[in-house]
Amino acid sequence: MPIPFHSLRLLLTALDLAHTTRCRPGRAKPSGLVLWDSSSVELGRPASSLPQMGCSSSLPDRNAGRLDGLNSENSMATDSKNIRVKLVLLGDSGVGKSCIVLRFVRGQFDPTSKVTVGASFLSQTLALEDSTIVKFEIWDTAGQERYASLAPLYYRGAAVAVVVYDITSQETFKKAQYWVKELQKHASPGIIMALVGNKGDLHEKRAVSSQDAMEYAEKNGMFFIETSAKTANNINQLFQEIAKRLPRASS
Amino acid sequence: MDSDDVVADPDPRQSDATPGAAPSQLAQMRSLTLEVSNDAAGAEQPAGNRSLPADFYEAADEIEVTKKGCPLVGGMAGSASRGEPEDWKERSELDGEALPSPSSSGYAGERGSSGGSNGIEEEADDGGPLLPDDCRRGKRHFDESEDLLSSYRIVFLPDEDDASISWRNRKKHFFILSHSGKPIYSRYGDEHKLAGFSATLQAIISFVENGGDCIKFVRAGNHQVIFLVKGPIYLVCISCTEEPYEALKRQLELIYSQLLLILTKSVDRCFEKNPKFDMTPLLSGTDEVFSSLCHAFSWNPATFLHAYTCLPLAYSTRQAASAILQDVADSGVLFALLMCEHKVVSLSGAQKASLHPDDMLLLSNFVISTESFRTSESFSPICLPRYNPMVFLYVYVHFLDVDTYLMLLSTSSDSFYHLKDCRIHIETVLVKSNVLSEVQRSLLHSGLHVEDLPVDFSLRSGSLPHHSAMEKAIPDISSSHVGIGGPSGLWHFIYKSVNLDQYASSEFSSPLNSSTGRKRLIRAYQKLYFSMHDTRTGPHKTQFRRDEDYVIYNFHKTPNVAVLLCWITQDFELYAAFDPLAEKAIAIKTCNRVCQWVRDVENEIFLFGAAPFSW
Repeated sequence: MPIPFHSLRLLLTALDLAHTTRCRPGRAKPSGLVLWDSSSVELGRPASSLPQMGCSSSLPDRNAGRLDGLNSENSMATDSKNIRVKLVLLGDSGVGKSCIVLRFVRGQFDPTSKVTVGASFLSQTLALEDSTIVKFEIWDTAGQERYASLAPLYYRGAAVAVVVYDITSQETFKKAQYWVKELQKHASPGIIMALVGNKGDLHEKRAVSSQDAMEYAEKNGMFFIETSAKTANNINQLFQEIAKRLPRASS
Repeated sequence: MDSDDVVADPDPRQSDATPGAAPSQLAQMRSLTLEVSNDAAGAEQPAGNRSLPADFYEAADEIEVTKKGCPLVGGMAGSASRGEPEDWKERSELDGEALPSPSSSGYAGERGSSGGSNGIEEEADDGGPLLPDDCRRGKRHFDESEDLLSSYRIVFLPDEDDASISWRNRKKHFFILSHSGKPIYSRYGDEHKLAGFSATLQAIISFVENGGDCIKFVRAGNHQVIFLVKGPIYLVCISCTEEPYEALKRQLELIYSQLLLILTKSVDRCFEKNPKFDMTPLLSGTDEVFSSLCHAFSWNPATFLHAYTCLPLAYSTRQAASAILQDVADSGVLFALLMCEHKVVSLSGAQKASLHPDDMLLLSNFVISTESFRTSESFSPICLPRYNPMVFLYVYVHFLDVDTYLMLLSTSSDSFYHLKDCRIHIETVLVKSNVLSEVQRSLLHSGLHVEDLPVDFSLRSGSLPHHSAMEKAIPDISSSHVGIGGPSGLWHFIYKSVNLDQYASSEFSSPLNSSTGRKRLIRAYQKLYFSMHDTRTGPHKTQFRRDEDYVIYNFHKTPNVAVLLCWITQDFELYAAFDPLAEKAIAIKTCNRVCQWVRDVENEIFLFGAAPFSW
């Protein structure tokens, strides 16, 4: 039962950085001043089993609640109305992961490609029809090979993984399948996975048929959508569909 | 990319005819020494590079040498006379002032202009000329390939390779390649197309290595080819900029460190497993980082000074920033750096952790040149090669405004949310205490201007003429000081505090405000720095030289030769550039006043109380 788009409101969160990164101090409200609604309950456990080197032991108490870091087992925090969800984007470099995120979070599209380094962290809030508010904490990972080994850092504990490929490149579709396998092996068992064919505006150069991708997605229990960050086509739908699939607190 | 890095050599034949006409800075330099031991960087310096092992040349003699024209070989690059200075001067004018755009020089059909650059001249130990036989042998070899290439290249594509004239005309190339000859990075052109060229470089290096030796550099006409071997990774610089060998080697070291910053030294293991390992995918997307570093070599004194510079700020403002950074450093952050462009606002480290100025240079270069950091807060693994070249640290980067950014480093990959909280805390404090607005103000209006050098000690104010005073002063500078800036003909200075590992430099003002002027000045300082720190001729205390290398063009387009003065003590190093008419006695007096001035305002231009640096 798809929720009609017009009934949804997009809210820019106070944590959204759009206004602060480009503004001189004083003009915009600093992003850091408002924290995410503290009424949401964290389900994550402080679960880092990795050896913490050096300084970590001396963390002050005020940060203790956040020690779960990137590695909490399940970073979905929920109460009846507010859902906070950790989402990770994976895929080959150049498929448009950052473009999808920036289109969703800021409504912008920048055709000049900017290589992501490490991972960028952005958040965006989506209000659903049933007045549930979903806050996506998005890890936009770098597609470069040198960061591949670091991917677990970002997808471990993620509630949602969005695997992106470029519909004009078979190679990126292969890479997407690699990520799906990797997630099936190592990510949290209940992770929601979406397969996204981006650059839908370049359909005349299509190299991956929707049919193939759809079949692959079905076989792997994924949700499939084709998007275009450039034209904004299906970008919001992608996140709405994800939001609908999130487990709700039974109340 | 600086466009003036392209040589437009209008008459290649001329340079062919006089390939030995390399600049002879030192021989003609009217170098005067004040209280010096060895005369300014060795006017009497024996030819030859003493840092090379004696047996190096025996092995190297076997290399196929190529040479066009007369084989005149001096001693170490730039340390001996090389013939007609006029010819060189002509070239050097072009170098800076002709400002050929890459397109005009590269694609205008100046075929053959690479002639001067493709002859590789062997550096001979005794400083004597090469045997003509060697030359001919080499010439044959190179000419064949050259002819082939040039006859088939008629249309030059924008993406250059080693066959394009534009590529050959670049004044300074940097290459990274693997020990199996696979290209890893090239400053110009697509490295994948340079496979053949890389293989050639690799062959030269491994040939010498097979002789149980290590190649350091080759002099080829106007060009120097500098080699640096770092385990399985080879770095090569080919340059006709006449920078000293030590300077170019230092630049290669920094490029290597930049690579380590991205990948750590453990990348060596990939080569152990597979000698033919292709490293380019690992570095994909980092071209901008390296080209920005290569560019920094021509404008940023930190690349050779082993020091960093601070943004001028009122003492209390910097203290406020330092206090909050120290707070987070005590909470498990390894290093906290607040920077504005390439200048430090404040920094702080965990106990016993020290941050090397080179690491700061490379880290800030990495952050500034990577666009994605500006888009949103980021978390990325990086390595600080001077801190520990083997391990990844994790850096949280957030731009507080367009120019100012906060970097928080941690050893833990799980630390993102903690670092994010720290940033929120820091940002709140910085905004509340107006540090950020002060930083912006300083960026626009502050800095040391030679025009403000106190004329009399009794007039000294004890603080920088910040803010309102500066705002008023700025239009004055541009309108009235059109000719020569500063009292006593002082154009510019750099003051390095040895104990603090920090330097302060005056702002560039007329006649130094063209990018070419700056670049030349930086290169002249660099040369001065390396000649002062030359271990072979012994450390110098002072040097006063009229440097042909540094020519400023005034408004009548007549070349002015700057006078450079360097003064090194235990506590500081001072590098100053003067008007050509400056008299030595007055220049020395002025330098004393500069030192006094710097001491008067040191609380505002230096960062005190940062974690002690020890390495």
